[in-house]
Amino acid sequence: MRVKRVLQGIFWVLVYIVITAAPLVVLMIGPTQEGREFWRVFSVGLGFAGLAMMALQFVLTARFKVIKSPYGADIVYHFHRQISLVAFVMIIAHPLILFLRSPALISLLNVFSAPNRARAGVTSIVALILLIGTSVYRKQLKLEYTRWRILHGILSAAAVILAMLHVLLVGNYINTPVKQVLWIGYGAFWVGLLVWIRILKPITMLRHPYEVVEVREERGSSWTLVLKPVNHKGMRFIPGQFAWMHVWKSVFGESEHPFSFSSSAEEEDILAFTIKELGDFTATVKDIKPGQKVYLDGPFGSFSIDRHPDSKGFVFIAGGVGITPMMSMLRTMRDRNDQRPVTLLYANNEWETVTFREEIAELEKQLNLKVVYVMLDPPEGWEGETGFVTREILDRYLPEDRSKGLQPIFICGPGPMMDAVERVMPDLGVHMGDFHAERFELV
Amino acid sequence: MRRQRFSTLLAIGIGLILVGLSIAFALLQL
Repeated sequence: MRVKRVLQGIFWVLVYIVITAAPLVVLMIGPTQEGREFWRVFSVGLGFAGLAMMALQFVLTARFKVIKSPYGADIVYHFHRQISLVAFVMIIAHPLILFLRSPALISLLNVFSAPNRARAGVTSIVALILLIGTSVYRKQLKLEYTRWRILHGILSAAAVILAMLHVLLVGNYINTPVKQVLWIGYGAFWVGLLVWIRILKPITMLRHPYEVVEVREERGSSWTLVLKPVNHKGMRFIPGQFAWMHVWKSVFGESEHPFSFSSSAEEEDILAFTIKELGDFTATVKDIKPGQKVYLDGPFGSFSIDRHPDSKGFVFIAGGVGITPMMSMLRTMRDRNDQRPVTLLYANNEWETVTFREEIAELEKQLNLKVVYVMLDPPEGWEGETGFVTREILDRYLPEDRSKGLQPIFICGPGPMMDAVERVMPDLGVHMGDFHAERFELV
Repeated sequence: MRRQRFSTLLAIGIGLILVGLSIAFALLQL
């Protein structure tokens, strides 16, 4: 299973390279133009490669399960961000090199006097700068997530359309039938992708609504939404996965957010999500009324005990609301009467805000489960672990035998906690292939 | 973090491949 995933992972990386390199390879075939100089053509090459990468960015965030499953959704988003910076540098280099070689070309930046081909190129780059700027500095700019996503969609579409228009108007590199077919193919692929993301997929979601049957308050300013499918079978997930949820506006709108399932994967009629009040949207979850329709896109994610069927046991490390995927896994194990040993290290600020505390106590009786609470601000008389989840605490509770593949470790919680735990894992003798992290800070 | 590092290196690697191809493209056009 692992080998298959690695091969799938390599396969999609190769597909990515082939698609982004294709314009350059096709451009190399065919007649060359006389009198071109190296830097000029090199800059054009960078522009083409950058454009192919930009167009592919839409595939990375289009939630194709087949692409995400070998890596995990969080890493695909991380790659989306990193590769966008690489593409950005290459695209910006295209006009910069031209300006350095021929300073007179700087006049093309004046959109009032420049020809249309330059106007398209310049506005595409302006859109790109705004796109990257608003994404990297979203929090500093105090740009709310939902608004940012709408802006991101508009700017990215504008950047790609204007860049393609620029290629078309310049016309130097679409002068043979093969090149024309290539660019028409790219354009059609890209439009098809947008139709799928913006129209076909929302229609499928609209036809499979869910109804909120209960909104339950949990400890730690968290709320559990219990949903049931309306006139359809619902979705089956594996414990630890997540789905994107649309609640308020139309399904074509942008008010969607990713949440982990907290219910058992063995429950067929009901789905539950537990959401902590953190940002703008999560603070409104408590206002949802039973009977309201919501729409789901999922399930996604590879963070699951079901991906490790041969393991002898598991270690779960949760921080705060990071308990939700662990709860889904524990509840599923209970429903399956899975008695493999589980150690749950659960870090919280205060005892009173420990989400699912009572149910975890019940699960301890039903499962082969050892729970270790780590309190940052412990109550008086607390005899358990305190402070952060340190190397010493981990060493005390991780299984003695840390051989590869024996007991995978799952961690979900605040970013700094996950980073700190991951850093000490090699020292503790944990094979990094056994360490699985789920991150939700996508932007 | 480790997987993120890998994905960053992959992004840089792909970038370098494409820069290499752009150089090859430019040399072939001369």
